[in-house]
Amino acid sequence: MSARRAGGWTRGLAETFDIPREVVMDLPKITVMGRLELLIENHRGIIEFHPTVVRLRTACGTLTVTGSSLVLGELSASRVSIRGAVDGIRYGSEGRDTA
Amino acid sequence: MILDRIRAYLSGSVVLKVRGTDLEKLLNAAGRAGVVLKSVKRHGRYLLTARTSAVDCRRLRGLVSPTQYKIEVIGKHGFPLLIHRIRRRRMLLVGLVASIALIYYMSSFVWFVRIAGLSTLSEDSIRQYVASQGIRTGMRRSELDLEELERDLAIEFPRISWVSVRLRGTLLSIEIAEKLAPDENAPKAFDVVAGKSGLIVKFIPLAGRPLVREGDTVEAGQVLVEAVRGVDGVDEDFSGSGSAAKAGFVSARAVVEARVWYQESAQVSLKDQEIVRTGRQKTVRYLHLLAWRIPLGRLGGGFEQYECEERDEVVPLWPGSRIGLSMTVKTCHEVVAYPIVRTAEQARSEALRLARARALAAVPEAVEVVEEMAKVSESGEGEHARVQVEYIVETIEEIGVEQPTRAAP
Repeated sequence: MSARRAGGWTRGLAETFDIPREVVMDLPKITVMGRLELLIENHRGIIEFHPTVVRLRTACGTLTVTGSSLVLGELSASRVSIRGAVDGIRYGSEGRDTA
Repeated sequence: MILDRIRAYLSGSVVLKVRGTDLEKLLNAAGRAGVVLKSVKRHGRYLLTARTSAVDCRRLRGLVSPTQYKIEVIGKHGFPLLIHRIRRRRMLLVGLVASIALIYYMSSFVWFVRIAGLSTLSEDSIRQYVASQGIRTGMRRSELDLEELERDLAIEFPRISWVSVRLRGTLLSIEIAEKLAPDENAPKAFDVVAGKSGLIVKFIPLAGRPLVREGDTVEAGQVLVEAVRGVDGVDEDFSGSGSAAKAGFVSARAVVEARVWYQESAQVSLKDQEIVRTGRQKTVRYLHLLAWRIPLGRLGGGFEQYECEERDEVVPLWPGSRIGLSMTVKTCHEVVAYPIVRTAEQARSEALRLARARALAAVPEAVEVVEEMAKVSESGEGEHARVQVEYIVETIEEIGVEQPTRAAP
């Protein structure tokens, strides 16, 4: 309940002052370049990494990227770029972080 | 992106091979520690490769237990590696620096003198004069005064109308343009002669003695209007040239238009073959050295049917050099012969097309064609049957051309 209230408060703040929501609410920001590359900012770690699937922990839950010949182009504490032939991007509730 | 690559090159990078269980844990630990990994590829369950900076590689090794993860460097790239290699090969560095220094030092001298643009002046005389001014191969470039040399050359050789002296690297280039002097042996007066055989349809003599009339048939080279010995005070316009007037001869001038015929023939067989290039070709170069022709490479397996062409070329030893390697480039094209069977009508139109094209090709540009005639004949039978076409194109054109007169001494 308190998390929802906090989320609502920060969301309202972001909308009122036109502040980027991913900054205020710590949401993952995903930039997709066709099917060739994905750039994910604000991730919270890698759960699984294989050439056909990459699963990341985010504030919204588990982000699953499927495809073929997937490679982590660049990996740092909060950013990861995934290159290869991307077939799908899906959110799941497994491993959801509500902190 | 480019700046990132330059930075990565300058800081150096290593390619790692990491073996162990739960490799995702290693990736997360690296991320938390600020280690940036690039091009991370998974090769099976227990193996991945990644690229990182040399500094991050050391940090990564410190993060994990060597018993849990085996980290192996399988490649090194970048400037620090280059420096490391050079340090190990000091004599290579010394040689490189010495070579650059030697090239720099040697490029401060003049090693070649090229003289271009001469027509009547001899190259030797220019070279001797240039040498007499203290300019020789092996002298320092800084000792040269190009403008002074230009001035001296123009003063020493009155026939020079323009001279340019330039330094291009170690090449001293002297370009000369000579004055155009009147030709003493030029003819004094001219006749008008027929440039082509034909039937004169328009004849207006303007100067000289006319030898033909309208309606005459003339042969190529026949004199139509002859230059005549003039009288004192002849009109300059009629004289053709001032020198001719002084010599007492009046050049002939005339408007001469004539009917001219161009005749060409073509022969086309009913059964023939067409040679077509397949596009496959092989090239070999031959180097000419004294009396030898040395092949550079082999033509390889020959084609079943082919046609070859050769062209000569000279490859300069250095840019702007007049000295070069004489070579012949021989290119052989694979060809295929396709049989062609024509009807009599097709052969006739093909022969007409060929003969007409040949006849029109002989007609000068901007000349009016007034009539075209064709005579078609057939000969042979069966496979040897062929169609022959004689094609005549008739034009009306100016045929008078000037030629040094035979009357003048």
